[in-house]
Amino acid sequence: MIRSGITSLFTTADKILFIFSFVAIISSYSYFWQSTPANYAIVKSSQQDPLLINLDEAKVHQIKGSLGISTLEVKDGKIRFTTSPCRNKICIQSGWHNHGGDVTACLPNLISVQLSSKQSKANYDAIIF
Amino acid sequence: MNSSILLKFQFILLASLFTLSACSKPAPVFHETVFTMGTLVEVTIVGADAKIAEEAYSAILDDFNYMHNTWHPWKPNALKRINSLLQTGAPFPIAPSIMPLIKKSQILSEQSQGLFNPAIGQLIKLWGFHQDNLDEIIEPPEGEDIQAFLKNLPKMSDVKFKGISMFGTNENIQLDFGAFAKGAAVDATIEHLKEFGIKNAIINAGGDLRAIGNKNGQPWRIGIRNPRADGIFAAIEISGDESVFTSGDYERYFESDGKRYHHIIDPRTGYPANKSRSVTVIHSNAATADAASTALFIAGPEKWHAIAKVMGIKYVMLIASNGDVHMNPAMAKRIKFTIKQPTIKLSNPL
Repeated sequence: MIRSGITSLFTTADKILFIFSFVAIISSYSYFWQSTPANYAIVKSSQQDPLLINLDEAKVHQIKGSLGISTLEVKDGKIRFTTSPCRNKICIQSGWHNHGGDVTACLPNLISVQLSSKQSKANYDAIIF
Repeated sequence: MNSSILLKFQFILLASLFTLSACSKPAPVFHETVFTMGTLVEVTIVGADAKIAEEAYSAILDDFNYMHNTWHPWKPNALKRINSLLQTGAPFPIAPSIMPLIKKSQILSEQSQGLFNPAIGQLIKLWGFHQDNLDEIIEPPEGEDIQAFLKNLPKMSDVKFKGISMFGTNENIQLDFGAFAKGAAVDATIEHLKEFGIKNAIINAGGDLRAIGNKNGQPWRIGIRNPRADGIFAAIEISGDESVFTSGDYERYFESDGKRYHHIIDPRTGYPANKSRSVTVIHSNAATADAASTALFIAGPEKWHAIAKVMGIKYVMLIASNGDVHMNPAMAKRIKFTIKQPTIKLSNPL
């Protein structure tokens, strides 16, 4: 009885407006505020042109740097260095990366990997270490 | 009355929708990364005209390259010439490109009770950390060489000024601004960005940054990478004009006979400081934050609070070598751990 009372308050136009407003609010929240993982990476090197890597495609990429070839592995939407001619292998030890906005690099080999998402949204505006 | 309730309900819904949209109005974002100052520098500019952002980026790139070439302690440049002259003890004309760095680091070195000591360039060289990258085979120095150096330990106060001249009073002095130059360079380039009218930006130099303004009205969200594992350890929000600098034992190191030697050398012992894994500091000035993060790392869990107080640092997080996290209460309020919360030891307020 109460339900029918409340329903009787709304015209068809009101109901359409409510549904539209709810959908718009929920989708706005999701679009603007929730973070998403990266889905591509831009690889820059002193020895070759920048490379755009799709993180949805499992693949091994060989990148020429100032010391030699570094290998980047892409799997399950993540990317990591797997081989590098640098001595300390800090780039390899940094492990997998999948946060939008994250940047990793092999400094001795002058190769950087910048992760982004198509929506240009990122969990972090910068990463410190 | 019924139509009044309905009207209010509709108003709230629409107001919510417009509020969400208005808060999130996207501003143009300029983002570029470049290798300079011996590290990867990331520049993010929000809300500026694309052409101005490009011009500003180009200008600060020149700044970085100039400072890298001028301040590098071992390349043929102004600092190398000064180092040679300081060791002679004879007065020589003050070098304007280096003097601000010397003056500021003298103050910070004194405040840190000598834990931040850019005068120990020879010790840094003994350890092999003077190189831009550590790809050559490095062995730790002989203990007797370290002891010989420590017998006549140079300090920043060994650099004297008289009129338009300067001179050194310790033949071991060798200025190496490795723990300070990055911060000073970030300060200089942020000021240059402001001259272009840029109000919202981050300059992240190899994991140390200064941010001005905000991002679309929201604070900048900064992730702190885990010092011992993959991923992000904690997050922090900054806005206005703040620098976040971290010194860690994982940044530069070499291994010899299965032992790891990192680059943060304790001037009191001559060996890598061993009481901390990392120290994160927030301060308005990047150069101060840079020097303080090094000094507090060396100070370790027992002494960091006293040194931070003298250096005027209000936000500190120190991860001790046993994994405990030491923080002052103001920092604890700002840090949000993204992993299982570690053991936290809160200090008295700074």
